Amino acid sequence: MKLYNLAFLMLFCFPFLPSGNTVENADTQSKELHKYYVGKCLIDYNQEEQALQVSLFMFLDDLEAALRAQGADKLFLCTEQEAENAELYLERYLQQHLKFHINDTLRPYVFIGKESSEDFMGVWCYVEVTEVVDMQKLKFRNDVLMEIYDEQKNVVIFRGPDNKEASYLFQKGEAEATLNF
Amino acid sequence: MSSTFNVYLQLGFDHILDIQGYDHILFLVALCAIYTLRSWKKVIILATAFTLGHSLTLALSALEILKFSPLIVEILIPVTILFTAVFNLVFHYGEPNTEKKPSMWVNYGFAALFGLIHGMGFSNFFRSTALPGEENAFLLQLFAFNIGVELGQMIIIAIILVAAWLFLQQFRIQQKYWNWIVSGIAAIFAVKMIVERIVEAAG
Repeated sequence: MKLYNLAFLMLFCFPFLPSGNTVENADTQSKELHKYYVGKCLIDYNQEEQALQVSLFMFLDDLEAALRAQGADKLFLCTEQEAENAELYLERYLQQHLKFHINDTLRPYVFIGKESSEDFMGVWCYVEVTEVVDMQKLKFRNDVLMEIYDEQKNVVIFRGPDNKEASYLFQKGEAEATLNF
Repeated sequence: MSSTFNVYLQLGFDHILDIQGYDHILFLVALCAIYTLRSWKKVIILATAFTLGHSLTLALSALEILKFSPLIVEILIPVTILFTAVFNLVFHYGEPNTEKKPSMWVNYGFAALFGLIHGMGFSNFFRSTALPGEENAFLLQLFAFNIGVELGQMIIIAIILVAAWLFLQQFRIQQKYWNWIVSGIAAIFAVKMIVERIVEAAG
């Protein structure tokens, strides 16, 4: 057999090399196969109610990992054993990673509540920015989970009156956008 | 201002090209293992069969007309890879001089069938990124996502065929060895994935 053929056949050893590929995220006991890191967020501008109604989705185990990294462990979010102050930690987390500036002013928002997704793998968080009047400029940031997962991507869609829709795919380092009205 | 179409196109494209979730890439590698740049027409037909398969189940599943267990699908996907790789090794081991080659229609059939399974896998990912809204918005997201997957698929296949050309024509590796190695490596990784996924499903 020619030497180069033999060398090529040596490639057969490749799959048997120890793989750095099975990197387990040290903390997740995710039941999900083929784990992927995508979050999504819908910002609904309800002009009649003068509010930004925001729905933000995260995978539950990722959120718990993020909170654990902040020292808030054993919260059992969205379960019967949920810790009493779990939502406080969640709220604080959101405030750190989900921000709205209207006309260059940082706006506080109300945490309306949360609910788990149909398959119980994720959680929807609902917040509302009220008293949205005369909005000329909206800057929003959603970098949830990016501090623990470099590959986290967040889809953000803004929907406004007159069927206005703007979509973004945020990733680490590019998790902010501005809209002018 | 970015459009919804672009965002979901990007998501589809990134998803199939994702090295960490390399199962779809590996399937395409196994699918193309017995072909060279010269037989690009056959490869295009094969890819089209695969595409029709996955577009169908992606759409049906995204619209919740079709329901399935994600765990089962995740296990079936590497099974499709293993099957293709073994098929290559059994029927094309002596390429290009085999007598008992099955008809191309068998290959196209399997490509479409396996496409159905991969489409279900794509829909798992897609549904976790789709945002509720009116039907039209959802369909646009689905369509854009599928186009992104197609574009990614074309790039993967192009790379595989160019690599084949490189090894076969430039480095003068015999085609049968190319098949053995490529299909062999695909088969080994497929077995690895099947085992990993069964363990995870059971755990």
